[in-house]
Amino acid sequence: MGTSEKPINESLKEYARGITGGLLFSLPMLYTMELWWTGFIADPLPLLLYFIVGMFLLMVYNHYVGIREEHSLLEGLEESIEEMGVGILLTAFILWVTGRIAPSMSFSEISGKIIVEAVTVAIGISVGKSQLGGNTDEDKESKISQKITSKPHVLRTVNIALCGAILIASNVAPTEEVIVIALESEIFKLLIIALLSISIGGAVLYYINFKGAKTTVVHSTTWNALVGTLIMYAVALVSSAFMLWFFGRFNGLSLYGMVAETVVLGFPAALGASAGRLLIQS
Amino acid sequence: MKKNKEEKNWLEWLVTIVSAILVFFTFGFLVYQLIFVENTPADIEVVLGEVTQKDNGYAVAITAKNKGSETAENVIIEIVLQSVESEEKAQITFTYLPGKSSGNGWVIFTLKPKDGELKSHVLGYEIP
Repeated sequence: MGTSEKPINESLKEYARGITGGLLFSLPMLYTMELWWTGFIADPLPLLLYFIVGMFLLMVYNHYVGIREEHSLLEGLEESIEEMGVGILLTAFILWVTGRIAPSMSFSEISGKIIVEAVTVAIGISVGKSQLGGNTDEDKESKISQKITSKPHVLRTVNIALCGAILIASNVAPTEEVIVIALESEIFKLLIIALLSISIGGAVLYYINFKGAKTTVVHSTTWNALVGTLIMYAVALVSSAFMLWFFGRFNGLSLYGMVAETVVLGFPAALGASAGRLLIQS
Repeated sequence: MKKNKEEKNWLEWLVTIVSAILVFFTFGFLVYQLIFVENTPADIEVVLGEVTQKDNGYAVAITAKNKGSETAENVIIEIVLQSVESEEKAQITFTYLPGKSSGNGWVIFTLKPKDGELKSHVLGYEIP
């Protein structure tokens, strides 16, 4: 292909795929009241941190899975900025159409609402751009396997698992239901939830022949499978705790309440860190 | 090297530039807020508007403005109509009043309020 310009309709299709991905993963969030509230309740510091974490996840995802095989750090950043920008625009549009932002609101309220939602939208866009396309280039398979062998294994796994966990669990994290379940469940039921998360996650990665598991997960020994499952659940718990903290769900809770909430949210996060992870990179 | 040296077309440049402006603006705005904007506790100011006659009484427009930067939740406002011969109370609740924002509503009285007879006061609110 040399250095020819990309045709306009190719780019349009790519953006459309991205937008579809963004909506697919984040419309539930955009339709959730607690999320709108978080937009104006959150202080600038958590918002800023969330935004930075979002940009970091986009960079990481583009680095490991993204469109181009060879790229500089700058290109990765450019790609991530583009996805975040489209995410912000799309979020603003949906919030406006659904009547959640209006000119009478203060600027910090509007920007807060948009930022809270745009991070998930942007990750969805990134996933949509790279995963929802049809088979236009047949060298995709070889590209992926080549990338996998050339990158350090654990770092790649953890990072993509983080993206998957945030993508799936951020839809649930801000809702009132998490704290209700956490505080009303008996301890042995929380334990069941934790065991369920671990076993489903482990099974997806190592046992049930899930799409992409063969090519992207190393499972030579039982030891590998145990460590991999452990890492998966650790990622799920850490990302849950971060999201709960960001959405203000830890405020005024005892340590037990915090752990219980993290376990409850850890279930969808574990699904994201296992099944979600395999789906967004295959 | 396959297709990885494709150059951006004008559309992609446009999207990239608009995105860069949005992202850096958002980032800058957050940093600005973090450094320069002081967090002030919620401070509710109530403004009563015109009186309109309805089938079931007299509606008074009410605007509650949060002058602080923090959000107030479940803001309960009481409006008292105190005339020489009688007293009537009405109440209104705003679920959320974000900082520097206002909410609008109506309170209804059965008697016609005259000038200077209406008094409003914020009963209380939660900090989310």
